[in-house]
Amino acid sequence: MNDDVTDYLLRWSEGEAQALDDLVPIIYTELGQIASTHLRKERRDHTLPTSALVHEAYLKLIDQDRMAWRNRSHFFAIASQVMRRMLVDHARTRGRAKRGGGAVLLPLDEALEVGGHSDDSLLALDDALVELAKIDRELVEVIELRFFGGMDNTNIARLQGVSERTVIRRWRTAQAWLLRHLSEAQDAS
Amino acid sequence: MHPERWQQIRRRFEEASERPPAQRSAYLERTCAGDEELRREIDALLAAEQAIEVLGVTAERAPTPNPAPSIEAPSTEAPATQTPSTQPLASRQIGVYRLEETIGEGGMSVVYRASRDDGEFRQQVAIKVQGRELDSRHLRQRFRSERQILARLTHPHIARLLDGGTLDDDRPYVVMEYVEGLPIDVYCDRHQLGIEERLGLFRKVCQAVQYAHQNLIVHRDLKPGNILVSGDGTPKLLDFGIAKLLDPEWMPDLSSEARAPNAISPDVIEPDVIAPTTVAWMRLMTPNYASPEQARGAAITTASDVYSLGVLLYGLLSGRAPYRLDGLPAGEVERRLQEIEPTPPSAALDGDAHLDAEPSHREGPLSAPLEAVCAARGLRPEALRRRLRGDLDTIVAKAMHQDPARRYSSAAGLGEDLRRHLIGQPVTARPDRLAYRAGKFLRRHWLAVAVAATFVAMITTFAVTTRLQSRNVAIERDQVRAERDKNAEVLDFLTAIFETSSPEHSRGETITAREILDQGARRIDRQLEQRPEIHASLLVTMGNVNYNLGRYEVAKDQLSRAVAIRRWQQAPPLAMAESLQALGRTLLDTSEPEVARPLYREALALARGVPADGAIAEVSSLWGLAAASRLLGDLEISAELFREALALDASRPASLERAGILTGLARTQLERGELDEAQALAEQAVALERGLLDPEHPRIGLSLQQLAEILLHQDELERAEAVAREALALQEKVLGPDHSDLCLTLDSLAKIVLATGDTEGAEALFRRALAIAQQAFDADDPRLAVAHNNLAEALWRGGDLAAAELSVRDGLAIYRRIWGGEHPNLVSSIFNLGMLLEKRGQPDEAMAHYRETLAIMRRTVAPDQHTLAYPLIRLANLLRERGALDQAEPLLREAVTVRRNVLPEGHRLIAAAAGYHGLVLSGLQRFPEAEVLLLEAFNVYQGSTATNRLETWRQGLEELYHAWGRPQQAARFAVEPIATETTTK
Repeated sequence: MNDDVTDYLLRWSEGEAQALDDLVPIIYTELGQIASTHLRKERRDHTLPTSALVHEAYLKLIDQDRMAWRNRSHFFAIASQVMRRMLVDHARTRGRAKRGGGAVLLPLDEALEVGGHSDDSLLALDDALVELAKIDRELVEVIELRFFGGMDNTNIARLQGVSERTVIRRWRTAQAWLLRHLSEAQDAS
Repeated sequence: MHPERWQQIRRRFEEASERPPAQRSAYLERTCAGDEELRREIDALLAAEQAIEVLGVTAERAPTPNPAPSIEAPSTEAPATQTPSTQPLASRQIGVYRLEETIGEGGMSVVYRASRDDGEFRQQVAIKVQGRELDSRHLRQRFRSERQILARLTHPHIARLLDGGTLDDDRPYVVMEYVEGLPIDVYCDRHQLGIEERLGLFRKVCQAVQYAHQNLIVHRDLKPGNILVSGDGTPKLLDFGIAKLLDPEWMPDLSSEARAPNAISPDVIEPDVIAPTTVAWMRLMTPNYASPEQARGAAITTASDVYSLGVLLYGLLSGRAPYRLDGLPAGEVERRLQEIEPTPPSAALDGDAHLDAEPSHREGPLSAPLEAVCAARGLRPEALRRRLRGDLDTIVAKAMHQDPARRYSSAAGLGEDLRRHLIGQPVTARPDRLAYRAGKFLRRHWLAVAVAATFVAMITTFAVTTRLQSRNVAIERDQVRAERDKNAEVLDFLTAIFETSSPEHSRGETITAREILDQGARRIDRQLEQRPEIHASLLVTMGNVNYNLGRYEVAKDQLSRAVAIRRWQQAPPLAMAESLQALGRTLLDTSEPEVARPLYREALALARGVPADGAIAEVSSLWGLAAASRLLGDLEISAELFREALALDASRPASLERAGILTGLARTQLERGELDEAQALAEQAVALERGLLDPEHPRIGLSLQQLAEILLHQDELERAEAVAREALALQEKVLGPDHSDLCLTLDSLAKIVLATGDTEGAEALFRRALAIAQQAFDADDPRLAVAHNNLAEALWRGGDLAAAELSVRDGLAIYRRIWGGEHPNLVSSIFNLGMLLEKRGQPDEAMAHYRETLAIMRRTVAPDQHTLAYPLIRLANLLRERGALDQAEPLLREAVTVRRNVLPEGHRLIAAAAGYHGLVLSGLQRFPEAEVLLLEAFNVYQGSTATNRLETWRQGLEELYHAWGRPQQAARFAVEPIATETTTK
């Protein structure tokens, strides 16, 4: 498994687009497994920071010796997106279960409640990010990396190849856009 | 929206946002050039950013999920209909709490007394349920995060928010600590408190408000009904931040802010200024205590709370309300608050003739007849009038100034001025006329003030960086002194400048240097609003100067504001770290390590983010974190942090900073009982300082004092005494015979001398320390209490119990003034007083003190503390002596249990508790149980030097067996028990 992921990642960073498609399900599964392992060990009311999950997945999946830093950050970028997808999937499943849609609630769902963010707000955020991606991919990426990937400004700056100041600037702009967008959506509903 | 259009918006928004708020409008005017839609979009984003900032400041303080169990009801899809406020609750249960009775009902909320009962542990709480539901997920989320912030407010005078959530119908509720007491005004009148006592109580309220403000929380609804005073005189503030939390309409109104972006710029540093609608406010607040800006529906800031405190003080002093606003329409309330200045309290005592026309109004505490008002304050009318005239009138007027900027800049400032009044120092508040003149003068000489401030900045910045702020509270006091001199020079210089150019000078009115500093600070606040970077760095400077002058409250206020500005400005990490550290060390000196610690933690994280340049800041942050941890009792963590600082510092040449870290670590190790290491560290520190400093530098005296203290703990009395005397000689020579630093050294020396058995010598030294402390410190300074207690110990050991009792009482009185009735720091004094009283043959009084000790410990000390056994055993033994065995038994059973839980098996203390328990059980004829316990005690004590105790257990066993009808066994313990024991084997 280790070697697979490392290979996929290297191949992807060398420009082989197909490698990403292979990579995502592996990371998805791994993140899920880590979350449920934690759940078994920890108390139920203990929520996990997403950054811890991503980091642990990295340690498990990647052969450290073969990985240059730049690829390492690629991993985090992908993992952040996967994290977002996974949280949103689970929020949807849980929503269906509550409405009696028959979906089975996994214990995992409880572990994945991110720091008190409710399903509703998570889904609203996801919708907003879809909207934002239509006009500004850059800002979406910052949000994914920070919020879902738990990366800090320094690492985001290195990943995006810009200064930390710029990252902070982008983060602020993204937040302002989000608040505006979400409150408008709120008014409309 | 088209991506290109968005890029256009984004670029201009980012440009505008980088500019100071005041310049944004002009920039946008220019750059949007008639494109209304563009302008609207950017304004909306700017407003959103502002709102995020306001929320972000607080959110950063709450990074972890609330540890309190969340009992939020699952969100249902129930239709969001209006619910009448008094709608009864469907069940008598909210979450884990069972409702017991309704204790209050307002227009918008109902308050219940409730309890949580899990079998062993019963907790009383108050639950406030809001009448209207939170009908959007935004509000629910906001509610949740606000609640978490409030739950972290822990202050002895603030009722804690324990929990909260929403009911099934989405009505929000909060669970608060249940407080029993009287509203502060009723309490004062019922206990006929004099003016001094009222001010003392009121100052505690100021401290609590200040604490909340430092945590960026505004009360918004301060009034007597929200400040309850318990039977022992401790005030508790209720509902902190609750007004906002429970206001369903509290939400940044982005659309209106977008239309008027300037409306939100002046108060940017206040994190809590989102304007509610007037209607919402008038519903929630009590108009009599509301500030003009509150009535207007404008932004609420900490200054609004200061105003409400002013109104409260007005009433406590004069028994009158500054305005009569009940029943007036909102517009009229606003007009009166805005336009009419209240009568000074001293003048308000009379008059109020209109009350006679409305006798129904005379029932409240603020409308009693003059005779009653005077009687409640223990003064005749003329004396009361005279008492209020002058300082107190002026202080109230300043707190209640219609212009928020002219009020006290903080609740602490108000409290500090009252303190100055109480000890007869000139207060900072001035009648408006003089302040106006001084203001005019300063306006004219603004340039001079600015130059002077820069000068101050230069000097103190230099001083601060050379000292690295790695300042041990006691050890480096000498440096403070040196700096104080330096600062005094600067201030003299400033005073000179101002006096020669002052128009008042020729008329013989001088403005003191401190006043100039204060005026300068206020001036800076007003003039530099638009230059936040400079504003912040001058605030840091001023804060450091005030810190060095020992004006901690002022320093705290300025430094907190610097922190807030820099946070808002996203200042560079090292600048941010600098202001956090400056605030942190001030808080360490005012014994608020719990507030200081997170600041240092944040500074540390910032410093670590700046690889090379951050190293110095990293070391000093570690130092601060370590010192705060020690003060909070986390000794292991403290030691680890100090070691980390040492390791980090090792790559640099030896410095005084390193000596400071060594000293700090030595102190921590001393407290951990790692005496050998503590000694080695303290010796290293002394050697380092001797190498770096003049051999007679007073700092060496302080380090020697600490070394002596450590040697005392190691029982190396001879060396300890020599070192302490060396320290004392050095300090006397350099600082003079009356300097406050001598207190510490005299204390240590006295303790050493006492340990050698020379009680008279110790008493003389303690008396000298006390005399210096009385001169050097405030009447309410804990160090003064320590001096009293030390003297008491020497007197006690010397056999002068009456004098010892007086000294303990003096010390205890100070502690009670500082910490109120119930604080772990009171425990040992109360317990000691109990033992003294017991020794002096006053068992009833002694028992009362043991009971109080127990009560405080049970409420405030961790349950696994075996020290609880001491008062338990003492109390039980007195009960046993008077034959109340039934009462003594459970106490001793508990004593045995707590000791067994904590101490290792076979420990003498366990045996002692068991022995006493056995005696009582034997008296109750529960022989089998008693036998086991007494034998345990007897066996453990065999071979010990405590022959008295062994004899007690022997007798106990002998009597037990006799009473049990087993004379043979009794005989084994009759004479020469040890010999008998060995021969029978």
